[in-house]
Amino acid sequence: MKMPFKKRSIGRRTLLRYSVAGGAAASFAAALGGCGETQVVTETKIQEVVKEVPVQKVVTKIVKEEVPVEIEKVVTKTVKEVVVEVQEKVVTKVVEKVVEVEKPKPQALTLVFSTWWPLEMVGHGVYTQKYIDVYQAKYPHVTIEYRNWPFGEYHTKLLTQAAAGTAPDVFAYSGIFFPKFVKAGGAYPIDELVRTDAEFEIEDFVEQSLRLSVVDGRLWGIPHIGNAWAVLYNQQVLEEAGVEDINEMDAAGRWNWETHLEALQKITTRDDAGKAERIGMNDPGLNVLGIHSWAWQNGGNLLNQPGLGEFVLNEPAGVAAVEWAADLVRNHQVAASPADAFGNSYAELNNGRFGLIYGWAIYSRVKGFPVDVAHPPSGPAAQTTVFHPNTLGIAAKTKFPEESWNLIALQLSKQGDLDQTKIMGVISRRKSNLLKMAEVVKGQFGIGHPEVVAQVIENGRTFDVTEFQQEIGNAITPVLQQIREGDDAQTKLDELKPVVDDILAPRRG
Amino acid sequence: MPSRVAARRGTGTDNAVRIKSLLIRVRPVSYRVLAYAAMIAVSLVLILPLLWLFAASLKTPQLVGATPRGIGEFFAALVPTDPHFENYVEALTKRPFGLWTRNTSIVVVAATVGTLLTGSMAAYAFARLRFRGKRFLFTTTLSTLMLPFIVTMVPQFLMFAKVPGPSSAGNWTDTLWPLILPHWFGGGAFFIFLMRQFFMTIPVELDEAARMDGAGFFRCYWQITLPLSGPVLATVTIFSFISNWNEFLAPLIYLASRQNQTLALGLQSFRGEFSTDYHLLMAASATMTVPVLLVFFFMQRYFLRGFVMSGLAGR
Amino acid sequence: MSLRQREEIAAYLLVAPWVLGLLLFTAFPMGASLALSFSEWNFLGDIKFVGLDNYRAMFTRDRDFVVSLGNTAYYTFIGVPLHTAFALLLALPLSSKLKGIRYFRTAWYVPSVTPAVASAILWILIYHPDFGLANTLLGLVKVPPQGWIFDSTMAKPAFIIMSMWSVGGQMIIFLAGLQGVPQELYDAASIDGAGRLRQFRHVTLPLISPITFFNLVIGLIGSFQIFTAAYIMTNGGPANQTLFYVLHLYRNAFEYLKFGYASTLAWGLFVIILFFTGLQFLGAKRWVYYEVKVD
Repeated sequence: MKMPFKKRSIGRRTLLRYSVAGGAAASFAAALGGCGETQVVTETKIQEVVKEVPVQKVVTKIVKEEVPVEIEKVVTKTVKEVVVEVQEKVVTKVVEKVVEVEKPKPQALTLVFSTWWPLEMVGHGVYTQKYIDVYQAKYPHVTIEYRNWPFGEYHTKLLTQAAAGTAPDVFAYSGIFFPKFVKAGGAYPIDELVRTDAEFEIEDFVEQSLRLSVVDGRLWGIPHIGNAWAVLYNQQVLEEAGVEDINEMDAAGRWNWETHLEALQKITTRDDAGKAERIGMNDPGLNVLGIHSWAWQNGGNLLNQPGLGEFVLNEPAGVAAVEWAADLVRNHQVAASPADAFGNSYAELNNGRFGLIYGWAIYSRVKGFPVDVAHPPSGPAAQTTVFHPNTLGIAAKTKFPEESWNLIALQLSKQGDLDQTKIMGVISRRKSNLLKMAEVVKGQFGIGHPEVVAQVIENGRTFDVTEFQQEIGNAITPVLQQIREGDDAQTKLDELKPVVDDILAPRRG
Repeated sequence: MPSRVAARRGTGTDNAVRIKSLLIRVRPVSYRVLAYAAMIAVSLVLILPLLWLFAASLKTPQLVGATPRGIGEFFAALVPTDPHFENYVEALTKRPFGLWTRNTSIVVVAATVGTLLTGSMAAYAFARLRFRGKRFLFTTTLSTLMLPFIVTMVPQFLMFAKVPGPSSAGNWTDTLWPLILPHWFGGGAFFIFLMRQFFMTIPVELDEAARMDGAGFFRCYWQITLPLSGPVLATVTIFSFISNWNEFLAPLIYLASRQNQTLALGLQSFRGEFSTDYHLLMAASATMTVPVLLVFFFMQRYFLRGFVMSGLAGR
Repeated sequence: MSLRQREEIAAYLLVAPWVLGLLLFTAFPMGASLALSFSEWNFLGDIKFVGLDNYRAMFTRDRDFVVSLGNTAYYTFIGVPLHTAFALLLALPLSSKLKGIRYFRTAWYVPSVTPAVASAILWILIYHPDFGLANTLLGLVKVPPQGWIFDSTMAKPAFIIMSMWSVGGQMIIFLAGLQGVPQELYDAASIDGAGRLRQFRHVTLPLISPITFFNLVIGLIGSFQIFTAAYIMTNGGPANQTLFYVLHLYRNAFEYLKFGYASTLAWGLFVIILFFTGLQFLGAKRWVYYEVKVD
């Protein structure tokens, strides 16, 4: 139910005054209209009515609901209502009209909303607080109770609450873990709510970002704060090491695996004892997220079919991609060892210990760093990267799906989406915002080439997430670590294949 | 061997004390200096984490995350050259630390008192009294320690969530009760086992003598055993205080709304998905360790040698 | 009423709160988890009884069960004797009457009160292969640098060394035990001409044996359940070398949402710990000295 457009707001007292004056004027009009008998009666009645409940009641409600009011009309009603007692016919008609003006006030309710950041947090917290305020102003009958738990334990907490039937109505959920939660029955399907909301253009979302929230053919969430894996580089370090600016290389079509390795070799310096003083890059992504990027660039993949697939990383393109990434550490020694990679990559990039890092395309923490963002290199097969959004969903057991949806729709509206970029420093997921986003971030977050960010998202891919994502991740990561330590990639990945296929077996039935 | 030692107990006390004081007087000074030097060295090694914690709490976020290059930088990192005391202001004022401290204090005090009282009662029965089913009950008690908490945690949570209770949701979650109540029912197998082991080292003749004087079992527990158990009661107090003060998992599971949280839970709000505000986390952590250290420092007077002896002397 | 009867009544009254708590807060959750170990449950759906399937899967299909059990056994059987001995070693000087000893006690206890996150970060810096304190110390005695928690072969020993740092709890229990040893026994022994070492062997060790026993039992139980350090510092890596049993259990419960199977793993661990604790109690009869007979 949408409120009529608000033309002008009138204070309650002003309105009362008008109605008194209007009452007198109307009675005068009635007097002009004829019958002297009525006139007398009416006049005395008016006096009473102004003081009494009915008039005030109508007025009060009008003011509270901020319905635009045409004053004369109200007055007429008031007077006619008064006249009621004298002329029966008119009465009935008018009373009906009054009822039309009155709108049932929505029941006050409390909506619980949860994420993994506190409202005090720079960026994320500011954004969330802002949209809670906007929401409460727009829907004054709803009070939002905000809750947050640390990311490491957030999903555990949500699970136990869902088990007890006390999960928050609206919640942020990690995109990787979400399908499992949906499969377990923790989320509320939102496709109907999306369809009936004319203002929320779901087509505007980058298609693949929605894919993570589709389970068993239904939509369960909308991509929330998301980001894409990109190259962030320290311009000063590159200059010192005699490496050409990465964006210039890219523009000239010379930013590929070979030049990438050359750049890393130039950056890396060692002392007499062989300890690395400056290292080419951070961890080269020997984990589930990073390995997708390298495999795609080489024309390979982890699984051959979204969701239902089989493990194919042990095929030539995949093996070569794993070897390429592992060699950066074990052979060329130009990427951070696990020990080096453990610290805060962004801090190490800032203090010049790393020349470049693979990190999120827009990251609010890099504010003030001498860095720029670039596209990952083009591999033998393609230039692409990983795009990874999280999700906003609704609890399966919520009592207020409509209100819950409104909270999601507001935060992920065109403006909300853009504000996420502006305030939180995350990427947009709405096509219509991709270019605007570039303007918003220009000069912020150490970004000199904002158009690259939009490009990264358009070129980026989401990887196929099923409810078995974590099992697969826990199976693959140790194997990648063994390969990094020197084990043979082909052998290890061949051994891994039956393990991953076994995990996915229930999907194939 | 043990029985021979026990048989000697209580003999030659006066002579021994005299001789011992003589021994202390003639001990060469260099021995004591050596002992101090060694202990100071050990202290430095052991206190390193706390030093580092305090140092990190005074740094800028960029510096905390960086890996020190070389041993020189490692130790230099312990002495911040440009201390940022405003980290403390930021960490402690932006969140309702006062409220969280209040909640935590309530839990800690209530839980510790409950454990000391009901736990020592059970421990005394296990250590001193004969009753049917004792062996079975004691074995069961110990076995409760052997199931990982993260498994029993979920059914226990569901119990508190389903049973009608005082919270706004009509159950016991999001209140401090689930964090306190279990401690008033024995306080857990660890403390009962600990106290039982100590009660068993207290000479049983003390109880026997008291009972000959007409004391009942409760008086033996309250007036003989407990006063002789200073060290272990202090240990229980310290452990209970610290574990409840730092407890993270149970508050995480039971508490939901902001105003009901505890310090350890609130502390974690500095940890983010991809990054952590280490400087603030460390500042808040450092503040949180102060009360614990104070409790430890002042409780240890109950460790003084002679506490047990004074009981023996009064025999 | 006989004395025996009065003793029994007193005993039942004294253990009553604990028995009640045991039933309410422990027996029920344990029973529930036992029932769940024969079921499939994802927290939100219905509980489905699957008989012995979970137990069968544990022994036949779950590779990480074997891996994690091996890691945990290594950590426990090497770690527990080491850090129990270390705790006693630290407690001995602290029980002396040296001036200012309370400051030393506080200082030595500090590692146990440092928040886990802080000490985890610190230990990562200590174990840094290039710049860490650990390799620098090794360098002084001409030992080649190690990879510590970042190296498959060194990760578990690194965790054991780290656990030695935080033996404060056991140290305090030993300290309390040492305080309970009557001074007169030492005096008597020294009159008999016993040196410090012999006093320690023949007076201290027997008298604190119930405390040593306690520390060993609790140490074993706790060590089998190691979780937090591995969760924060390595998340099971490198190459599953620190995938300890409870971490594997945690993943099954809260990441894979197989709470039934996680309960099976828990009861598997329960039986294993029960077995080794039972062995300890059997062995205790030979070396633990009590003031009263246990029955």
